[in-house]
Amino acid sequence: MKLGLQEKIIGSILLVSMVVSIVLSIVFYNNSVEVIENNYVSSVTDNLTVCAGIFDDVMKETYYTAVNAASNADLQQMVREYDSRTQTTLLERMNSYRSGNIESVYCYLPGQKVILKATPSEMVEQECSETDMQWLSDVARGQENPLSPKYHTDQTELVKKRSFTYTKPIYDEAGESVVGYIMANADERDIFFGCLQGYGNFSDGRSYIATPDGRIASSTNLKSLGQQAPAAEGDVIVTKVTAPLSRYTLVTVSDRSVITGHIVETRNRIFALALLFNLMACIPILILVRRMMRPVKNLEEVMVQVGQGDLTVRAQNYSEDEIGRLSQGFNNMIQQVEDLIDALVTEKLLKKEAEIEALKYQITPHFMYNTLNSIKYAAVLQNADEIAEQLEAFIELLQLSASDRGSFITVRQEIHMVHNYVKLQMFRYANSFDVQFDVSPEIEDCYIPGLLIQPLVENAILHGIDLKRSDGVITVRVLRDNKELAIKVEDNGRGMTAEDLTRLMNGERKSKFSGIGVRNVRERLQLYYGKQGNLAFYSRENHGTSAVITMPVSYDAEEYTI
Amino acid sequence: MKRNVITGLVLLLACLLTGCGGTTETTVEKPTLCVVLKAMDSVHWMSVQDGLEQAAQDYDVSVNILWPSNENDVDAQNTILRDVIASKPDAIAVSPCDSEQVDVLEQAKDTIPCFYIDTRAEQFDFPYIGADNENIGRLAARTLAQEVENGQIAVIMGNNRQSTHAERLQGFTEELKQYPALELCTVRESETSSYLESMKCMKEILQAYPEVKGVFCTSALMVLGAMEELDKAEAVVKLVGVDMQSDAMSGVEDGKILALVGQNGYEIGYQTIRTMVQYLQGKDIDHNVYVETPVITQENAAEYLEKYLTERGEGND
Repeated sequence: MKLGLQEKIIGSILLVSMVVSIVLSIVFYNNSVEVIENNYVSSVTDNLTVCAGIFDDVMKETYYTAVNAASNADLQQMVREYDSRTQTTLLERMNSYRSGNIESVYCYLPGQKVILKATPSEMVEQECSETDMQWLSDVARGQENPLSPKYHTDQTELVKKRSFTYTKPIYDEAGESVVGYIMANADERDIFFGCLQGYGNFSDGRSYIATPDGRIASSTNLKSLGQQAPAAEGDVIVTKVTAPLSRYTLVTVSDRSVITGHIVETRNRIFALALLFNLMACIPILILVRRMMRPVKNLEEVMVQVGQGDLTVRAQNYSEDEIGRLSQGFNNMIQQVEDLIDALVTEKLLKKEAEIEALKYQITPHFMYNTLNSIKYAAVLQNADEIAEQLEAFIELLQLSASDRGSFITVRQEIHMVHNYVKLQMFRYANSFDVQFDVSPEIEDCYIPGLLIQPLVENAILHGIDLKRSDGVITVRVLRDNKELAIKVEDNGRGMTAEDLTRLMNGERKSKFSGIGVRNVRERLQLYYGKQGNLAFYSRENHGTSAVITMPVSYDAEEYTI
Repeated sequence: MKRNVITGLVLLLACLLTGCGGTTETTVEKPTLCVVLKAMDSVHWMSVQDGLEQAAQDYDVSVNILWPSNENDVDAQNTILRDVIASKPDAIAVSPCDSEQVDVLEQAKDTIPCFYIDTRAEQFDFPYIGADNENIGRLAARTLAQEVENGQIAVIMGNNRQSTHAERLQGFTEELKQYPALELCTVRESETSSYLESMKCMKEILQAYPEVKGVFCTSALMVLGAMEELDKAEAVVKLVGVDMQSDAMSGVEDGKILALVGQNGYEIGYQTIRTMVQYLQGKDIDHNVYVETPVITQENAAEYLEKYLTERGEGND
């Protein structure tokens, strides 16, 4: 699936915000669970400590009863001298110790194999069977820790009662052998209602009292009494407080789910709320992202249009941010492309125009040569040889000058053209001057730019020699000096003043037509040969003028073509 | 890239969600100290118990306080003491009923740290926390001498086998020698240190020495008994007692008792636990930790009474 930038941004925002809310709620949850559990444990501990206090108080009372009864001199005496006559007195005496939490007081006389019992319902003497004796001896032996009561099921009763018992021996007069045991019993049910049920009853936990060796001594569940307390398993919190005196342990086992259940609910609610709020947040996020994305969308559309060839469109500039600068850059680029294309089109157009122009120029001279040729043949037919010759020269001159201007021609061709030109001028000025050529044969094949010498000759005819006198002589010399070619055009005319010379050298024009040729020559020399090409004038008043062209020798027409 | 991010998130969530669970077991175990007192039949011992329990709470220890039915039940105390030693507590403090019959401590002296509270026994040299009883006797003699310039002085003391009473008598007798005008005519011993027996003793004294000017009783309970007997006989005899307890202090306030040499039971109880805890923590302790023994007379009785009631909490008496 291809996602747009907009969808990616929205997706990222939602993802991050969901993760943040979930992580927050989980951290909050774990924290709360810890706090609640700690509070719960400390509250349970407090409760159990109170229960342990109550339990210990009852046990202390039971213990005192046993100690006090056993250390009572009268009672000791009665036990030592026990017979059927003292039986009632002894039982009454025992019964007087029975108060408060003391359920019953027993007196076990192993010698007589009888047990005297002062209970809430009766005061009796009971014969002991062998099993009874065994059990009683076991109880009488007591605990390793004498401050800790013995927990047992009363074997001498028909109803199986469970009791906490402290036993103290009574010795004979000599203090050597035991004659009887005083047992003070506290009933398990009394303890349960007075201690566990009163304070230890937590609606969300199960409490019990365990003996120091880990059996259940008191609990709601009567069947579990006397059994080994089960090891805690599952997701539960177990809180234990040991009563300092009796060393019995009060235990509360609570399901963690009951205690922290509502927090789990809260956590899930937070998840749901986070989801809901995030979904609701989609709308403003969508609007905001749309707004932010508008310039990008615009840029994209403009790019598509440009791609289709429309260079006139421009991206709208919304802001000064990165996207704004991007749009600006794009616009500039399109502008440049447009300008370049414009320039290219104009150039092409101009070229075409030039080609058409050139064609036109080709047609015109062609028509003129044909016409002139016809006139020339007319002159030949009428035996006007001179006119025919003149026309011949003019036609050649025209052909040469009309041909491609920039091209190079040989010195021979140039000299031939200058011949024709001079022929026409001499006809015009009635042979009032003479032109002499001096060209070394080996340089006749050198290439020079066309129409290079003719302007200088024209200049010499028009401005150099005195046409009113008939002794004007113009000399054209083409010389070679090593790699340099020198073309010299001299006249014996009136010469020039220094000012005229400077003006001529600078190419300043006297009138519309004059000076064009000379300047043109200099420019072309400069263009083709750079510093190697040069045109110089030397003159003195009344001593003629000489123009000198210097340039490199070349036998290749293309060598200096631009 | 995106898959990695999602995997990471799932792992993070899994870690956070499984952070809790399982069985947590909290067991509260504290050091257990056992204190065996002489009885719980007077305000003094209740104050001691109060101080012990308060200190146990403050120092976060468990304290088992046990006592025989009365101060003379030496056998019962020894039985209790034997059982306490067999229960192997972290430390034992005992206030012997009979300072000459503490053989039972022989079993404990090497294995369990033992302390004397309120009363010493000569047999074993354990640290002692309580009042300087000889000093109490001296203070009583001095107080009496200030009021009675000359004449006969009698003493009603508690059971002589208890070192407290013996020491108080000794201090009193010695100090009285400084005042030749005063004559110690008789010392009556009340076997049980009880109220009734004290009344009996007072009666005998009045009969034998009608000129008696002052009587020193070595406990608060006995001074109250003597006070009642004097009230009945309408005799004017200056009484000095020991112990800080509200009924006796009221007697001082009313002028029926000349003075009490205070012995703050609460303070004794509190200091006992403090000393035992410090010892168990391995700190150095004083061999004798004496509590203050102020002389309470009619002038300052009200002040002490108020302080005493505040310390013990209202309505506790």
